[in-house]
Amino acid sequence: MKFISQDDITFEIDNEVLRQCTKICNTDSSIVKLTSTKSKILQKVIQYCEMHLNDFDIPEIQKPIKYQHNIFDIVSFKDAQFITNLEFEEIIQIIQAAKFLGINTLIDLSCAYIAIKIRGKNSQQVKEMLKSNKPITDEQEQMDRDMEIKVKK
Amino acid sequence: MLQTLNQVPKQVLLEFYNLNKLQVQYLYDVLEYDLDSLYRVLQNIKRAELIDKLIEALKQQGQTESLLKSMIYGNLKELKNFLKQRMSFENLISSLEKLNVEEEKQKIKDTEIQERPIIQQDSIFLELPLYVHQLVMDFLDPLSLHTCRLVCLKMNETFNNPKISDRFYEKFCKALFDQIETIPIQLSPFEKTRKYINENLHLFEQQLQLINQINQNPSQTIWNYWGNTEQKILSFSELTKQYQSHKDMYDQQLRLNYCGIYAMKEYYIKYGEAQFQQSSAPCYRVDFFRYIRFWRDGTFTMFISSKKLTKEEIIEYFKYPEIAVMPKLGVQKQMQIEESFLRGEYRIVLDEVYVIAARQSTTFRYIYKMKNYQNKHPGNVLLMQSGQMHTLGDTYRQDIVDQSKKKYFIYKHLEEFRDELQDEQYGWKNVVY
Repeated sequence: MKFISQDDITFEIDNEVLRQCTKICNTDSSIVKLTSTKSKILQKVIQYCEMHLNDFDIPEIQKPIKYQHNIFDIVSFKDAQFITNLEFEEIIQIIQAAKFLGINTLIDLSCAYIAIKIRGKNSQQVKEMLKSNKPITDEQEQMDRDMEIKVKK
Repeated sequence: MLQTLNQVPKQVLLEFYNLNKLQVQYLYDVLEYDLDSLYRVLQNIKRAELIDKLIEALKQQGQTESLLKSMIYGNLKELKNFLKQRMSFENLISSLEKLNVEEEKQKIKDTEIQERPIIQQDSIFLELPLYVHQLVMDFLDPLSLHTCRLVCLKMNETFNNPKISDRFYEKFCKALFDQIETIPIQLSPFEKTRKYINENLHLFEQQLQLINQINQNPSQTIWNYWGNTEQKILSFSELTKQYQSHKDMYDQQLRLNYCGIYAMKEYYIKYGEAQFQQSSAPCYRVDFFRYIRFWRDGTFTMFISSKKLTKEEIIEYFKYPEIAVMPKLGVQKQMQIEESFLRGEYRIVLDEVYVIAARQSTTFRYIYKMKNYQNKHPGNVLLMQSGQMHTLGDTYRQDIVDQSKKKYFIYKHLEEFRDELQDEQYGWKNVVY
């Protein structure tokens, strides 16, 4: 299988690695274009798939998470180490990519990690955590102002 | 063409430059023909910087007089049109457009400081589909779910969809109704009455049984006097049969609120003495306030004061179930505060709250009914149904409350009183609502 990312970089992957991707593994097409994901994030998704090459069943995460438990208590050690090294914005982009490919275990893992970060915080602290570091352009400011006026009405 | 300032109307100067009346008069009197001195005056005005650029741009082309006319008449928009019609200098128009942008940016900065944006559109997390939000919320415990709801409108949207939100409300209901357990009280509120009876044994000579019972179990003996009521609280599994969905249960089921205070204003009329040879006597209306807080242990405290308490005072008095000790105030005031406190126990029977309190040898019983006033919050109002007083060793009971009047306690939520209970059955931290 061949993947083409947003930056026009191609990745060649074996079919055994893609067993986790439920949406793609049964299709016949050999080339898949991922227009919304960058090459950095695709690399990390593939890294996750290679980690679980020999694992046939990955156990589900308990819902809800108990208050004594950390992320290292819930999932296996290599999964926890994989996700704690990532930044917050990368995780969100990984969710988008994983949803497109249909890797349900990765979505669960990253959602649980976000939930642990949100847990036990004020609403104001959560707001600051979810803010992105990108500078805002003038067009976006205008859009925001228009939306505010609409909401008030 | 305009040549003097006298031909310009006064109101235009006032409106356009934000000048005072004195300044306008000064312009009229002194600066009739001098353009240079006018230039100096305009520098001191708020928009002096903007005018500089205009004048510099025009000085290169040697047409200052026409600028004067255009500046004085009307707004910047009219100036633009005027220039387009008469002269059409490309440099001037472009410089004017820059001016407008700067003005708008200043306005934006002012509005940003005043108003906080309602929707946070700049974060990527909120742009994700609802399906992901729902997954994250499934992992959360009820306390952090409740704070998550308050973050922004988009997070709250998941609660509006009845199919998705039912499992979230189930979490809330489990935390509220499934495990209301009375933890045994460490220091019983009737300790003072036990002390009082033991000190004044000569008053209770004929009732040795009473002295014996009170020393063994003071709270049980007082409950026996008022008819021993047993608690009846509907559990979570029983309530699910009554309601169609968990949201209805969360919105309608009556309950006591522990994270706050119930307050009521009351008054009585006091008659004064009539003066000599006067037929009618004066009367005064005396206002006073009652404050109540219920605790998870089963104790309750009431504070009666002649003035309205501030928020800081309420937090001081009701932070702990024991009577607050404030060494700053001194001994006399501490005694006053202790006297105005009433401590006791309560038991819930369906939608009624039975309360018993004691002060020395007199005991009180109140019955309150929980109500949902204006469908705002279940149990936000307590209606006083009856109140009786009784002294130990007597058989006579006195009614305190007039049943003709309706008296309400109104609930006030205070975030400072929120306690966290660790629940081991489900493994989350429980919220005291």
